[in-house]
Parts: sequence; C-alpha cells; structure tokens
Amino acid sequence: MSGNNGRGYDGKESTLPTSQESCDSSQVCHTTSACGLQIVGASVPGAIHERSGAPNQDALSWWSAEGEKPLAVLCVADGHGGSEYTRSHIGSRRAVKEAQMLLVSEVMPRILDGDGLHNLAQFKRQLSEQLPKLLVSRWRASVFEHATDNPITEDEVPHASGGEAGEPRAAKPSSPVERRYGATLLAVLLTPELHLYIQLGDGDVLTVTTDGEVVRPPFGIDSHLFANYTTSLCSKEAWRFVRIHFQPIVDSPPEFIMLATDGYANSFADDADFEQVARDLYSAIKQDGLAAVAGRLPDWLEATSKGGSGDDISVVMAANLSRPK
Amino acid sequence: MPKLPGGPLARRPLHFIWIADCSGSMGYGGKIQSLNNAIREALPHMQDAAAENPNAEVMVRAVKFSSGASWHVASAVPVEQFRWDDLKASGVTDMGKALQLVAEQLDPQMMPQRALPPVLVLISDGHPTDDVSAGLRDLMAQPWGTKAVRIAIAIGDDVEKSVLQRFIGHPELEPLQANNAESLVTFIKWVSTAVLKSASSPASQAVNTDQSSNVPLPPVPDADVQVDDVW
Repeated sequence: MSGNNGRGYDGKESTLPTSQESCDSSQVCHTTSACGLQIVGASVPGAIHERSGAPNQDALSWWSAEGEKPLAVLCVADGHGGSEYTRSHIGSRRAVKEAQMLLVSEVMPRILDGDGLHNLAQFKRQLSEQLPKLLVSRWRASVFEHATDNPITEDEVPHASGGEAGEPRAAKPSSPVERRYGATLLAVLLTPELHLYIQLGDGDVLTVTTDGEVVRPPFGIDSHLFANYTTSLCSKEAWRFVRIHFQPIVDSPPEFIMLATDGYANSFADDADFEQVARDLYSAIKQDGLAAVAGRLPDWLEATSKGGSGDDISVVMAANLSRPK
Repeated sequence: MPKLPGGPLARRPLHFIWIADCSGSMGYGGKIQSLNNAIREALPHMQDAAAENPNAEVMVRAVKFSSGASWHVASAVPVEQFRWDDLKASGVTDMGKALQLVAEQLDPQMMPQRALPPVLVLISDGHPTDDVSAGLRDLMAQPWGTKAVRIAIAIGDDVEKSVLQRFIGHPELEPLQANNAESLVTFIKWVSTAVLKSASSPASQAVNTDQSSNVPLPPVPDADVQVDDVW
C-alpha cells in the first residue's frame, strides 16, 4: 500500500509532488487535509489467500494537497494472482504508483490552470485520447523496468529448463512479460471544478450524494467483466478498455467517494447490499470520526472477506466534511 | 459504528452439474451401475473438497438424457445435502436436449454475475441421436456456458469423441477415456475434488490475451487400463 509521498515500491523513493502527509502502513492509513477532505484506506489479504499462503495481490495509494482546495487522487489496483500472473502483486503496486504520478503531476495541473476547463469539450476529447495510452504505457514501462532488474526465473515458468539446481535461473517466458504483472486499475482525481473517474477492469467506484443516494460513474456495462474475466493493464491494446468519466462540479460534489477492488462487492448477494457499504462507511466517518473508522477498517475487511468472497479486499475513500449541511 | 458495513454477507455460488447419458447402451457391461457407484463413492470426497473453501457455496444438480432429457436432480442442492439416486438405462442418446436444458439454467437472470464459473461434466458412451449442434449452440450462447469449466468423460470406445471435444472447446483438454469401472471412479473423483477446488477459487483472467482456459485445471490422473475389464 502506498500513502501520499511514502516510499515507492521496491525500495525506491516516490517522486510525487511534496506537501502531503505520508503513510506506509501495510494495513491501513488515513489523513485529513486542511480543506476538510478526509481520506482513509486499507488493504487486507483475502481469506483464500490466507489459507494458501499467497500474498495480497491488491494495492492502493492516494495523494491529497495540504492547501485549502480539496485536491486528491485515489487509486486501487487488483493483481490477478494465479499461475499466469506470478508478479501481479508487483503489477498492482506499479499501477497505483504510475497512475497517481500521472494524475497528480500531469493531469491535475491542466485542470487547475483553467486552460482545460475553458474549453471542456476539447479538454475531455484530448484527455480521453491521451490518458488511456499514457496510463498503459507508463505501467508497461514500469513493469518492464522491474522485469529487467529482476528477470523471470524458472520458478515462475513451469517446465522451463536450464541452469544449475538451487539457483534462480533466467527463463524464457512462455507468455508476454507484462502478463506476469497483470492488474486492474481504478482511480479518481478530485478538484473543486472537476472529478475525473478512471476504470480499467473490475472493481467498484461508489459515490454518495448530498441526498444520501449511492451513485456510480456512468461507465456503462462492460461485457468483458464476467465471471473471473476482466480487462487488464496486460490485455492487448489495454488502452481501449480504459473507461473515463468527467464530472464537472456544477452544484455540489459527492460527499463521499469510495474505490474498492472486486473482492468487496463479491462478498454480497447483490448490488444493494454492497452499496450499503458506502452509506455505512460515510455515516461512520461522520459520526465516529476518521481515526475510529481507520482503526476498525482492517477488521471489517477481513471479516467481510472471510464471510464473503474470500478474495483480497482493498478500499480507499474520501469524505468531504467541509461543507455546511 | 456499524458492526460490519453493508448488507448480509454471501458466499459466491458455484454450480456443479452432472450431465449423464442414460441411453440403453449404458446398461451393457454394467456401465450405468458403475457410473452410479462412482458418483456415490466420490460424493464424500466432493463434500470434503467443498468444505476446504468455505467462501464458495457449491450447489449440485444433474441432468439425464436418453430418449429426451430431463433433470435428475432439478433444484440446485448444497453439496453437503446432495444425495445420488440411481440412474437407469434405456432409450437413445438425446445429448442435444440435455445441453439445452443446462443452457436454460445458465441464463444470467438465473445465475448472478458474481457466481463462480460453473462446472459442467458430460458423461456419455455413445453417439448423439438428436441435434447436438443445436444444444451446443444454445449452451455457448450463454455467457456462463462459454465461461464454464467443461469436462467430458467418454465411457468405452464407442463414443463420438469429436462431439465431446466440441463440448469441451479447449484444444489442450481431451475427453477423459474411461474403459473400466476403476478408471471411471478415478475421473469422477478427479472432477468432484481437484477440478471443484480449482473452480472454487479461480484467479482473475485478463481478457484479450492468449489465455485459453478460464480456470487452470489440475493434472489429469492416469487411468490404468485393466485388460480383463474393458468396455
């Protein structure tokens, strides 16, 4: 899990813009910015992974500004796991890191300087064309860099041959390198003028309006997301599967935004039972405070995985409590 | 502070469907009774395998086909409550109708998207006597049909294997050849346990890759051929 400007993955320092708090907890962290934006996230290994000894394949990160403006970026990613995706826990971490870097360093300035918003239609068109390709290419470059520094070993490629017994041996991968790192990605960029939602693959983005209604970004139904199939950063032409939604803030923004990997929704019988999660978490933050929720969140997620899907569950959420009710 | 955010928790359903040939030829050489015995013998192992993953809710039912097709166990029964009543052999081999019955149950309206990929096990000793292509077409028209784990067991050497291969739809997995009661038990036990376990905790699979199977299958067991007991 990555916090704001915490250490990057594999021991490398993040190069995210400064001025944010940081968090490197493996379970949960939270922060409250000066603007009143309260953010909390947690990631727990699934009950099935606990039984098998597999690592948590999810990752999450967020960034929030220190100033008066409610500026934030939230990301979660879900590594596929399984024998074809031996490095998907790394792929998911690279996914949230690269997405956060791109959104904070390159997209947010274009929104804040006002140029994009003066001609919103053109801005949306440009970003819709550029952002999917940038997200995918940055992730691929990142995982190729990792694979160059850490070649695929025979242990990761069944039936590969050669090398001395007991030594990690470079192996000729039987599938494209990036597939080893396959992961999904959810991200949201929050500014006072515009919210930008991004989704590649399964997982859920829920928002709670001022009326208490739970609303999803209107991405539409993706027929690829069925059974255990998902679109992925490692899919061929993955950029085609990236879905983007621009939400100009005309009246009032959502009060609560939550990103979750699919292990959460799969723990409930239907959408209504899952969407109640967003209402309950938002109510808990309002009534009991962010720290109290942060303290309980890992236990909640573990219990949900154990009694539900058995999958890893990661969630990151932002509550904007600054507006008068 | 809520006890647990959200509505009631739910395990993910996994539907396991036997599709069994009950044509008259299954009565020869004790094949139908061997099948009854094999499924009954495998059931405790299947229940144990299911219990190892409490996050999957394994539901079992069965279709039989001979002259026509019907549900042998119509309602999906939790595996821990599942009991096997003997099948009896008679009639012809209307496999296509059986596949159509299964296809009806795989409609997304009846099987939610959050379910685990179903496991379909087709067992036959002969040649289809109806329009099996129509049955396969209906099955594969359902999203859950294409995503299902499809295993076929050929009993004896008079089976139209090309049909079973079309049902499997996977170039690297062939029909399992059972030539005696022992090998039938071995394969039935394998699908009831090893395949069930793989299907109950599948990793995600990326679309638009060269991946050809949605659930990696465990190694197929060897079936020893007994020279003095071959169908």
